[in-house]
Amino acid sequence: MRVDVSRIVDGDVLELELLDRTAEDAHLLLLPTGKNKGVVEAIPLPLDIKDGTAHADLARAEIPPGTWVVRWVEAGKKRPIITSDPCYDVAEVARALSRPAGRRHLPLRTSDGRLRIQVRQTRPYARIERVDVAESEITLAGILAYGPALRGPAELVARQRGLSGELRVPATVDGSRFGVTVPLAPLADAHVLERPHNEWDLTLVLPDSGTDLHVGTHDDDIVGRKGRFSYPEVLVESASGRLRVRPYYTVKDHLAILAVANSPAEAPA
Amino acid sequence: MKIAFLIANVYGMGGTIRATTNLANGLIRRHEVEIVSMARGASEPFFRIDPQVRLRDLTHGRGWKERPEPDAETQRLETLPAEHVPPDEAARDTVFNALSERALRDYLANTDADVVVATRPGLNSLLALFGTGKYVRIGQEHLNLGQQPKDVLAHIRDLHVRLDGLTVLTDSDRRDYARFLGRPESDPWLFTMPNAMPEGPYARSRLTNPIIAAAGRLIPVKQYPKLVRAFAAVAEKHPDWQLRIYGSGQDAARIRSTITEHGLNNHVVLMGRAAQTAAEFAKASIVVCSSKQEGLSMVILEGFAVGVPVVSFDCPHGPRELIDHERTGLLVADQDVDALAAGMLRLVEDEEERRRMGAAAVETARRYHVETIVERWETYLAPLLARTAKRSGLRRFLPW
Repeated sequence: MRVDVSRIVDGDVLELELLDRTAEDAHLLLLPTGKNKGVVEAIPLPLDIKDGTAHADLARAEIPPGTWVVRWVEAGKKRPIITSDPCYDVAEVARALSRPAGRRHLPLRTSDGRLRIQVRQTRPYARIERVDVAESEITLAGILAYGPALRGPAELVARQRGLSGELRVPATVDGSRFGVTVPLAPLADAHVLERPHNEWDLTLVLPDSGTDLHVGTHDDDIVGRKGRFSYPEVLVESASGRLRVRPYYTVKDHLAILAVANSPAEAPA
Repeated sequence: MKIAFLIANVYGMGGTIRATTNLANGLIRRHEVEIVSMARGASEPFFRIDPQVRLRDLTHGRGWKERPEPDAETQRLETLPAEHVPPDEAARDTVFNALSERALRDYLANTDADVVVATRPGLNSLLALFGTGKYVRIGQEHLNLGQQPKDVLAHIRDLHVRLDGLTVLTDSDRRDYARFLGRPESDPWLFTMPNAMPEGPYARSRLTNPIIAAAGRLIPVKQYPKLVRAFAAVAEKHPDWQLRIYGSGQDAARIRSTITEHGLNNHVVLMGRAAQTAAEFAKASIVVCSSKQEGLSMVILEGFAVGVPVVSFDCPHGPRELIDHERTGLLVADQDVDALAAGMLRLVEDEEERRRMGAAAVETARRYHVETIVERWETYLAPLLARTAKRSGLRRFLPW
């Protein structure tokens, strides 16, 4: 079956705009792949087909997390779904992030155009949308992803990786948006010269919600931000000497802050 | 027909490599195809090559980390310069040395190919010097004449003319090369042979994502710092838009520095290499080309294939031959950063225009579909094969 559009609407409904004729009693079959292969059964999925558009309610099927091959089943015959849809929609990502945590369904297009469905278990996190580096501070802004019910007050906690340093800074929360400015002088004062790099991992804490949120950026199509996004570094004076400080993405796409002594030293990209 | 392509390093990433693999993957359906790589630069090719296409490596590149330990003679020869390649060409690509030159001479003396196609000037020189009359010898130029250094120009004038034919990417190139060689424009020895787009299926951009994309190696000729400067005007008015640059290369640090200089760290992403550029472009709404010079740009064609309009400098020569101004994209004044910014802004602010241009762009891309280009090659080669058969006294049966 060839489809022009394959997207998620209303959160959990797969919408397919069909390019080929079909019988109205066609349905989908989801075949497990990857870690689910041989472990989980195939899942039949009823379709509501009208005027060349098919809808499948993915939430009702309670599909386990993982990636699923999608087959079009008609008159007892199974065939792949070839989609012209790039399967990436920035507006849909924004809608998904504003929903409560739970299962998120994403259409995927393979290199040969076949449709797959990925199911992810989501949990709230502080999603970075903007990083601004100034002479003595770093300002972060973003949204409380998958956390529409979360409310302030909030504070950002920076923890010195592998060491005991900790900095707490008040953050603002306005609806689903948050913002925080991290002063760099306290990080510099806590710098331990014996370690070539001092990394500071960030967490947004909302005491009223009893929630600690990791700070990072996920859920768009860029996996592996380290080396792709780069931020300027600033020189900060400290009792330990002059330090070079900059925010960076870790290999897990969490945002962290790196401080190194201002001398040639190997540092994360 | 057995057709062999001579290429510097088919394991790398670049326009010529992509064009050659696309064509080989198309030709293999009806012909025997071999890609002869002067050096092997990696364990696996970056671009997909049909398993039926034979890959032959003449040497193991010195930059290949996993290469087998070379013997003393190999080590000696690979540090000696190639004798018959223009020095500028040898300096541009490290695959040219005494070892690879000797290996290629052996190959050219013994191959049973019916057609041998060289894909860059240094290889054209070696094919002209050491190829035999048993097969059709074709040189390919992927660069504009204006991009060639003096010593390469001398080789084109004195050596490449011995080949059975020379293909260039655009009609503008053909006119320039004909003028340079003192040949009439109608001389069939010079032939316009566009690059081929691989067979789909292609995705089709929805043209709604606030993403502008560019792709190509991060090298000076692509002028990505200029693109970043132009994009600054877009980001200022439309901070939700993102510029994604696909590719890797020596200019990364310079581009990053321009990104920081303009405060665009949240807006410009150096995405790294993409094996499937078209699939990435399908997520974008505009593709942009900021090059100083371009051949028949695969990047523009890939944007078109997924229905994305292209904004480009009107640089020599490829963009003008591909982009129908205001119909499939926008050609803006060459090297004018403000004009490039204005072109991007115009399409950012007019989704309807993007849709109109995107639909027309898809039609343009179809003209470069691999099947069309394979037929063009077959038509081009038929009389040359017949002539070679006569020359070598072999009986051949055409068509294949």
